[in-house]
Amino acid sequence: MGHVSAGNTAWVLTSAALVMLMTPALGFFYGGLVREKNVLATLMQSFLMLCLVSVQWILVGYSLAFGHDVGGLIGDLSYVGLRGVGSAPNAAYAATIPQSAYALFQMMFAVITPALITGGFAERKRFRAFVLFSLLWSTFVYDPIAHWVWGSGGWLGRLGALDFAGGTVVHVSSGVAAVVAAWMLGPRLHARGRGEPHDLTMVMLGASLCWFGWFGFNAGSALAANGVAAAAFVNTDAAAAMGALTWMTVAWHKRGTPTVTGTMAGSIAGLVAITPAAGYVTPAAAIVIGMAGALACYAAVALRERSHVDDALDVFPIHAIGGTVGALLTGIFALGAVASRQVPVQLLAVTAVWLYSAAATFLILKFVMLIAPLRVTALDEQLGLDISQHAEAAYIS
Amino acid sequence: MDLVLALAGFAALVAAWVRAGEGAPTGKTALSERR
Repeated sequence: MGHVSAGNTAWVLTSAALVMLMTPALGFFYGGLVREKNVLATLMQSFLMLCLVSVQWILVGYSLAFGHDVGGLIGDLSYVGLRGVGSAPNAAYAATIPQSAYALFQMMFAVITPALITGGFAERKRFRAFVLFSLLWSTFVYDPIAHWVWGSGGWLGRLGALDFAGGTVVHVSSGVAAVVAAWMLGPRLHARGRGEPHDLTMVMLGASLCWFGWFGFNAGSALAANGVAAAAFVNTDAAAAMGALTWMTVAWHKRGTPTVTGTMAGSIAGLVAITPAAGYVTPAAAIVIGMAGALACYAAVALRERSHVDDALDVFPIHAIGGTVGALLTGIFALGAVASRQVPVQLLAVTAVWLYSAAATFLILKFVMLIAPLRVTALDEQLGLDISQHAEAAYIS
Repeated sequence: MDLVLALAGFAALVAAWVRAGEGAPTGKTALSERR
């Protein structure tokens, strides 16, 4: 049994709690962006992921992602129910903390990833179909991808792909899934802009708490209370700040005003972009990555506006594009890496995750359609998901 | 190189703020417009 460090364990457990907060924070971010009649349903979609994936992770998810390697593709079932995952460290992952702490920390990543997808099909997805889809997606998309990159023996990890805290595993996988889901569900009945965003104060609260939680997401991924964690902490803040400033400035130039919504979107874009690089780069590089991420995501949102795919809350432009840009720039700026060798590996990892997430999401949605319609009826959509799916209303007027 | 790029990027933003106008409300409320 390895030596357990109290300091490292305390930091990873604290980080797990910080990452946990990001999922309801995402609910507030998304909830403020939708129409008033859909806010409760949107909050519920994020909150439910906390409940559903927590149980899935303990029962089978952790084992599929971090169990003993099977062909580089998936973990075995040795950790089903977290059997044998206790106070002893697993040196393959984190040699100085209990494996149960590592499993808990990773659980929170598994929770937020399908929650991110909900922004793609916001305001129109049937709750039953959403629950089934999320459970299947976590099991057959997130868990294998996490194994490919982070699992001991995973094929992308073996090739040397760098993903410090989930730029590819979390953001690219969810962003691609969101646009596939948005395409398969079809656009909302009402055009963008009618009644949305309904509460920008909620959006501000959500974005701010996401930034706060992201310190655990990135700095916690050092899996120790050490210099790497401190560097990741600094870099996370730098990229978020530069992303926000960049988006605000571009929007100011292009649209005439420094919008609050754009500034918040920019901070998220910067955070997404620095995620794969957080522990590998200098603070100056983090500033560059934050800026590049915001510029790329801004351009992607502009392109999405010309598309007929109703990715309602811009999950693809922010998370898939931001994650991809961050992953590639990690290959350029990572200390000690040789860009000419690292960038192709990064590109391979991102491409594999794009293709697998797109194909698997499509198949899972086709399967769910056999059990339940993906969309609510037109009347239910007009009524709003709060009333039609939950028989509740957020605001009493 | 990363420091040079970071300084240049930040300087470009500051220069844009110096030149920026006060802006006029567009009256549009669409999410994409706000962003």
